[in-house]
Amino acid sequence: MEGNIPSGAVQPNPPPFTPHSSPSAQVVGWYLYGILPSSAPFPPLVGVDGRSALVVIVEEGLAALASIVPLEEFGAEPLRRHLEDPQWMEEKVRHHERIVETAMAEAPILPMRFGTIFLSPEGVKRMLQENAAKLQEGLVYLEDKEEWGVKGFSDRRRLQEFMVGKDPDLCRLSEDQGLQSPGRAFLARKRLEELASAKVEAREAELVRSAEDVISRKVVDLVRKPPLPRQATGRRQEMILHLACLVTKDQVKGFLAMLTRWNSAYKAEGFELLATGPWPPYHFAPTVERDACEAS
Amino acid sequence: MPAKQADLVKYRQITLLETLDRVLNKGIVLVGEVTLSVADVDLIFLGLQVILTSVETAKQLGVRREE
Repeated sequence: MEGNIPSGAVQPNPPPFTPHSSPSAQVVGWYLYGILPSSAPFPPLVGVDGRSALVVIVEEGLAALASIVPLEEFGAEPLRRHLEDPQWMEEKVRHHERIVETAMAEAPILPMRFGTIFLSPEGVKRMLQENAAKLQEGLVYLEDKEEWGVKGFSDRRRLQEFMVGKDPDLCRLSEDQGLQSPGRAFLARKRLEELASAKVEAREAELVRSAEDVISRKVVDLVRKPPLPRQATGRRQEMILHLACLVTKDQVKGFLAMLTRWNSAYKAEGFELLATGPWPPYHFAPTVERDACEAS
Repeated sequence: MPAKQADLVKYRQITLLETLDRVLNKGIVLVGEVTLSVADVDLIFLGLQVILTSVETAKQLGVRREE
């Protein structure tokens, strides 16, 4: 099994089973979790297959955190089948994330996307070599930063009530609902609904712009993401803002305090910002060209 | 503060969605065509984006999980 590990690779524990050496009978791949500085410690965890120890494959001062995986479970075809199995997916995705987060506690890491598998450690080394500058730069850039998720939720009912209380047009229509004849009350209610919904939307857009503006002053970088539908969030409130933020570590406290202040200020309007993190910098890691790591 | 422990726990389901979204859709992405044959290439890039195109996926996984 030593023969399968190139001389530059560090291998703390022998893998639990011996891969075939013939390329035509390939039974294992090298699953990558992320890229660390080669000096970084890496977690003594078991890989996504549930049994193989983590290893690092070192090149150019970079270490690819990896573990071997049986291709009968992680090869292209089996993986396709697993994609339709939410339980398998959730378990493996969480496992991947746990490994990346554990490593992240010790050193900067460029997280790989789920399911990045190489057929040989040489292929991994080649990828590291050919993208070394970009990857090293990424590690240096991200070393003092954290990724945070920010979502903004709008409680539309509450916002509408708030606006009816403040907006003269809405206020008058709201009063008309009760005072007029049934026919006129109906019309007033209908007009109120239409007008209120337009005003609520406009106010939400303002709140989003204003939140983004305040947030962008506290972050180094920011990615706008499509808001998730209610059936996905499981919340009554509508998600109207969805961001991935890159925050300098020494700014995180101020960043979160700013969100808290924001929430107090706009609570009456039913708008709430929610932060999660720190995440591995999934949204801010460099992109690596696949062409560069293909075997010729 | 919004990120205090109780809040983060309360929003666990969102965190799962976020985890799926990040791990499946982001991170270092090896750009290129999907390779389904493992025989003649050095790298298998499992092109999850073909099936797991977006947050839709996370949504389905998340929703199904809660059932």
